[in-house]
Amino acid sequence: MKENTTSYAGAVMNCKQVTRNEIAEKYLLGQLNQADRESYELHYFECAHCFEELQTYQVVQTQLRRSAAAIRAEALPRGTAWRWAWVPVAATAMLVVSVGIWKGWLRHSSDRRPQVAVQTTQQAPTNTPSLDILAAVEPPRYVPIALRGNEDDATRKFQLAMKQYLKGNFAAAIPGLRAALKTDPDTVDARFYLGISELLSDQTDQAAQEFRRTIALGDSPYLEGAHFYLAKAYIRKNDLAAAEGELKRTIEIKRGHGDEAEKLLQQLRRLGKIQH
Amino acid sequence: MAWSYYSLPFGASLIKEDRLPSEADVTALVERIQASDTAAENELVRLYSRRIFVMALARTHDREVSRDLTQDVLIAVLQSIRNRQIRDPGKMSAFVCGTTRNLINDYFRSRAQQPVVESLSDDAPVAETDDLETVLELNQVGNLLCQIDPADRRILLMTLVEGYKAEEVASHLKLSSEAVRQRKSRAIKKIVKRLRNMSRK
Repeated sequence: MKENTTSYAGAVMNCKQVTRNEIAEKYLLGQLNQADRESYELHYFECAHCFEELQTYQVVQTQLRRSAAAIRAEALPRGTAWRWAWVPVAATAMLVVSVGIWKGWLRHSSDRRPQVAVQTTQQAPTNTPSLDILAAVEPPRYVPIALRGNEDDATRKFQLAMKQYLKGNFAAAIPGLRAALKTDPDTVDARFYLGISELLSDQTDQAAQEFRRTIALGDSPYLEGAHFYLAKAYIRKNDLAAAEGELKRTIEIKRGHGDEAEKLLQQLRRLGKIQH
Repeated sequence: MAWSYYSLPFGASLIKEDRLPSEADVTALVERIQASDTAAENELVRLYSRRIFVMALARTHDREVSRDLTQDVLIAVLQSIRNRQIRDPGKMSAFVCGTTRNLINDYFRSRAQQPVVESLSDDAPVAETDDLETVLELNQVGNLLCQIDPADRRILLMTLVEGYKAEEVASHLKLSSEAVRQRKSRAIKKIVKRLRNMSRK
């Protein structure tokens, strides 16, 4: 075994640089260039503190990957996304009340009948899941097929990308799936799983486009799924009329997602978001 | 001594801040290995196996392959020490790091030359081959993740798995970038603290 001299001569990072530049995260996400990666590797081989940090990130990353779908499906507490949302709501409410009081005062001064400005909001039944929950996506199962070494280039690229998909690393699967489609744009499975990977990586517009293209390729094992997940994309975009159309098409095709689509349609109706 | 598979101390503690010994101590360790001291070999395995495994896992994303690579690196390093091929024993960390990198690169090169062969799977979609200790470790981290704020969980997922920048997460969650950074940092510190407490018990 020859002794590696590159690492001896390479520039060594210090702990401050590692923390300040979020090097551990970038390393685990494969976002460092070769020189930085090698410097960091040498650093954590010698630094107990940075190695501990890296181990923590790695084990947390692994566990997050395993529970990614569940975390994405979680409704965030109101305090996060909506912490400041109350400001315009309160301002509007105050305006409505003020206008009401002012109008009331005007009417009171003319016909002496008291007026009360009341704003009512139609509340969704509390046992109906929110739109966030209804838009949540569970990744469809993918079962790898046996390859014998004489497959075309697009299939090989697709299978390679799907290894990332199987690990729950959906964002990492996207470039490989796009490469497969560049080789053969009619690869329907690559098209469908690209849409899924984009949907799970919060690239909703691109995902919707891929599902529409999957549908445009005509009847395939992915046709029904493409309608169903396109409906999910529309729910995320709050385009519920379009979502309803896709769910109805999913039900018409009568394959694996039919019951789920039916249930989703009912829940949207219960939310009062679409007409019965 | 026949090259056998080393017992890797992965399950001993979850996250370990294992300080490396001084250059003088490592030099002494190398001399003991060269004198066929088995305890010294085990000490070297204990010192470096986790670091090798972590690097292999970060690069290959495959635990089983990473375990095999860890064994290969340890065997190669011990062989080099025994054959007196180490020029500067005080720089052992750099040598082990370089050897790990070389073997990982060899692994990728050999894999690129092989046809991709996937076996049919009729079970879970993710073919995990974790041993019981790893499963327990990950379950402990899973429990800790359940205990933190759901928004912090989402921040960790978006940054550590999906590779979003703090600004992108901030825009998605309607928070400031600074708030995202602080919440992520606090969540990680909380997890580290609890893991340390668990390791001490």
